[in-house]
Amino acid sequence: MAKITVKLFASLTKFKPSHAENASFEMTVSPGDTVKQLILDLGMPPEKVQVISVNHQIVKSDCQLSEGDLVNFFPTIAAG
Amino acid sequence: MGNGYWQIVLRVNLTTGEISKEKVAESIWKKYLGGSGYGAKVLYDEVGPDVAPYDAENRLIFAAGPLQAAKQTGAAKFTVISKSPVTGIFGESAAGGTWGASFKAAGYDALIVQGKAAKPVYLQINDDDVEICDASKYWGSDAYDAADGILGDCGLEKASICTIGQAGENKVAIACIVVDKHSFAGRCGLGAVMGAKNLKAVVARGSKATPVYDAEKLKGLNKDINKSIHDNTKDWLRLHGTPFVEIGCDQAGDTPTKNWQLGGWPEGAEKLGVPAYTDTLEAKPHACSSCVVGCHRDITVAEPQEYAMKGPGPEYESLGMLGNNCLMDDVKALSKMNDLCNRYGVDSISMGSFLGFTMDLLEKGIIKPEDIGGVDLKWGDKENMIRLIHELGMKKPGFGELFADGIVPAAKKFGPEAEELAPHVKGLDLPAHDPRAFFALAVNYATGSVGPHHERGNPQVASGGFLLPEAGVSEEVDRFKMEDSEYVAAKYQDYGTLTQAICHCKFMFFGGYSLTNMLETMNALTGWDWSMEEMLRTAERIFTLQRMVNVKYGIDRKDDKLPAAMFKASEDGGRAGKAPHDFEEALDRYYDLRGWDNTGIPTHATVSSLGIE
Repeated sequence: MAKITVKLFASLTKFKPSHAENASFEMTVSPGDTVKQLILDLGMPPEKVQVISVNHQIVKSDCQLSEGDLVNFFPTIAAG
Repeated sequence: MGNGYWQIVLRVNLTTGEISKEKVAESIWKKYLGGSGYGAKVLYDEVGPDVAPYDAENRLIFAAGPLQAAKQTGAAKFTVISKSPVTGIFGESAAGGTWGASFKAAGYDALIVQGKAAKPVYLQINDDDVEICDASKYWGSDAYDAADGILGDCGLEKASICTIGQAGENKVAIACIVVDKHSFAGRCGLGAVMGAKNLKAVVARGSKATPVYDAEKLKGLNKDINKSIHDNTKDWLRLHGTPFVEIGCDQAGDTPTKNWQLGGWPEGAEKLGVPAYTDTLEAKPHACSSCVVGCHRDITVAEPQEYAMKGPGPEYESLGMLGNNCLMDDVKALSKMNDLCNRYGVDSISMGSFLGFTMDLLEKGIIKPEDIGGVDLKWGDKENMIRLIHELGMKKPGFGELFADGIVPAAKKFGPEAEELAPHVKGLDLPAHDPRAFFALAVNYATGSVGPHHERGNPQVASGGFLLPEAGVSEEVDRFKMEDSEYVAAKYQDYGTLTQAICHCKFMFFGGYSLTNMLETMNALTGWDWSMEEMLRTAERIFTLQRMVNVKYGIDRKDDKLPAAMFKASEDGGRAGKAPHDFEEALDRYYDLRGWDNTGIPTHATVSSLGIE
């Protein structure tokens, strides 16, 4: 199993697991799991996830996860 | 014990050379706060409907707020206010850099410039010493060169400077004010008002700490707020700046595309947004004073030679307007265009609007290349876009003269078809967020104090979970819902009004800065012991005063409208089949909420209850 850190932003924070105190939390995934699987595990509608970054690199949802990864999920932010 | 204000306003008459320092009572600051609130008060009291924007009698107000006493993240802002040459009504724009903090530290809350100098001058404010200095040798310089030259002449350490480029000198209506070669008071043509006054620059240097009510409390608040905002923005706003939102906004149908005709342009957005932007331009964060976010970009384009530049990179708004709106997907060429806009000192939002509008008119055969000096401007035609930016910056015959007074006078020259395609409200070009993607923007753009603005009310972010629970917006907003859109618009306008008046950066909101944070900060600064209700009431007062300024200049319901295109749904993209509807009913509800009559004029009862004098 691989331990990763997940951080949810803005409107996605409501999908944090019940065990998490805030929008940044640790999770355990199976090695080779993709970001897409993680999105489903967290119960987030895929269309609500606009940007994903793993270790600060913007990735697609087929990105495979590894031990120690930091995964950020962002919704559409119409700012700026 | 202080209250975050010096209660001193500096007034400079450029016609007579008179410089005075006026005491302004705490009661005025408590009602109008500073920034665009105080500026509205000055316009209402001192600039009548008969004063034209370029008249010597127009006022140009540079106003700080109480936040410049706080040294809190986001407190780099100041606001410039005047009767706008773009719209002829209330105009204001905010900028960052270090000018606001330097000016406040010189011992003033605001600067009022009036009159017109007989020759080009700059103003030097060095604590108590204020001088009007000759700027003749810098007239004709771009905004960056002028900043370097004048600061060199001053010889003041840690001074900050506002400059204009050639566009301001030439009274190009969309001219902006350039701050420290890095931040921009971009909208409403305030650089052209500087130019009309023969004012090339304002230098500020200060060495004083503004006394505050509870310094220890403030220190604790700052520590918590700064940490929280840094944690919440370091992975996106700091890492990528506002270009981070480009692809998402395009997918939502939010970014104007092909002069607002298309619902999206994913292949273009991919090339302009991140990570392409960050990688291609070697983008690094650049922070304003006190800021822990650093959303601005420092970029480098080494090649090709024709686009080579180094300095501030385009923000999302510039990407949207010069990129998507013109179907131009070369991020290096766009960076060059943005750099030219910065140096000439023109608003890149309006510049992109003019270019997209012109491409549209040419494609539809409404105008011919000879109408703009023989340039056959096509969609995405980067070489001619660059050429036309030069021409507008220098107000050259053809395109430059045609758009020198803004999009409305230009469109009028080509008749009703052109007028219908011009994307503006009250003469100000729409910024790069589309009301068809976020319906609350419809009422917001129609009723905004300066015209359409994406930050003087940014209700579009309520759909992304950036909420105002203390003001009654506690749940994510359905972006395609007209019902209650007026309420959401009003509450985000009020939030924007507060940030503009206290002079705080609205982007702190994206790091979690709440109205509660603002209230606690204000009470620590001032000792006013405000309730949330009192603070929100102050926002309503200021917004209503700004409306009264506009009413005085002839604005009412007939002007609170949107371009026809905003009611036409697209067939594709993230907002396919969607457009604001029942707009007049939403406007009725908005007026009721504001306490304005059905012609859009604040009632006597409203004015009286808000304590506006």
